[in-house]
Amino acid sequence: MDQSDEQTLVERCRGGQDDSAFAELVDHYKDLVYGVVYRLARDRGQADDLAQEVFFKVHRGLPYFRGDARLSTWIYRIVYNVCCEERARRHPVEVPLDPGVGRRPIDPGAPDAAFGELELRDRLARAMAGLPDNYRFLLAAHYLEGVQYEALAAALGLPLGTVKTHLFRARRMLRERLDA
Amino acid sequence: MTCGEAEDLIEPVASGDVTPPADFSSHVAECRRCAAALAAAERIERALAGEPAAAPVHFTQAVLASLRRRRWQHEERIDRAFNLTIAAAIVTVALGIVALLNASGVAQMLLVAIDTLSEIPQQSPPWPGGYSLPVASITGAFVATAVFIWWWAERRPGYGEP
Repeated sequence: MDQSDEQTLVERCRGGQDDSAFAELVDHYKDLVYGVVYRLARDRGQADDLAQEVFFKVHRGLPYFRGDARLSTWIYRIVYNVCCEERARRHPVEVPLDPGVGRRPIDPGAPDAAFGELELRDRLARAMAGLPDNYRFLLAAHYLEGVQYEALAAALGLPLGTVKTHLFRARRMLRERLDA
Repeated sequence: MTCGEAEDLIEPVASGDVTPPADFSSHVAECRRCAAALAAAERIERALAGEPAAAPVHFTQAVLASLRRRRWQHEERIDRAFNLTIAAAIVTVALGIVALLNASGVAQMLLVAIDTLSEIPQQSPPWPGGYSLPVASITGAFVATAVFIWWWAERRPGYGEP
């Protein structure tokens, strides 16, 4: 969807008597929003709630959307804010990276057949939970199909180089936490 | 290339942002520690990229239903606030009228008139055990007004829909 199509859709949402235009907008961006939110929440139920909250804020904010930025950039920003608010509201507990008593420490680099992808994802989720909010958001959004560095930079209000540096540091921190 | 120099290239190489230079590749081929770090970084990349991203099947319908529910709750709150305001206004106006009547002495005249009327012997209604005609008429008028207001509120399309 190019910028003029986005603007047309926004205008239809603003002027629409029914919800069909907004349904079209949700259909177009739902995977993007849900993908980021799910990676951050790690729980289907919570991801559902947060993704719905994002679209509720999008609906409420559409009359004030000026169109200076891409719609997707504006939506990223809302996703980031919703996830930060949720994290602050929940007073997150520190998730221990220690695999715990009775569990064998895992070396992600070891060629071990028993090393399951699911277990790696579980440990990744724990490692991600301890990262700063902007690092978590960048890691969650960057790996979605079609998401560009430029869009993330615009959403977070950061220079492109800073986004790349943050992503580099986030990956490094993840690896170090998994190695620990 | 030293391990420190190779370390700075591990994430960019694993993510594909940087093409591995020849000296990096030769270092990784000889250094087990850096090779393990690169393998770990590549595994993390694959895991992050392979996370499911698709929204549930009926997600759009759920969002629209949630939106309608919130909109309805918002209208409910506005209706409640409106009704409370109207009730407060009616009470205020009634109190104002009573105060005005008291100040002008009209209330005293009305009380005297009511006392006088109550002394007139009441004729029993023509129907057995029923109320007097004025009471029945006033009650009927109230019921008719209430039915009319209910009909008027209900005939508006979409009103009160969740």
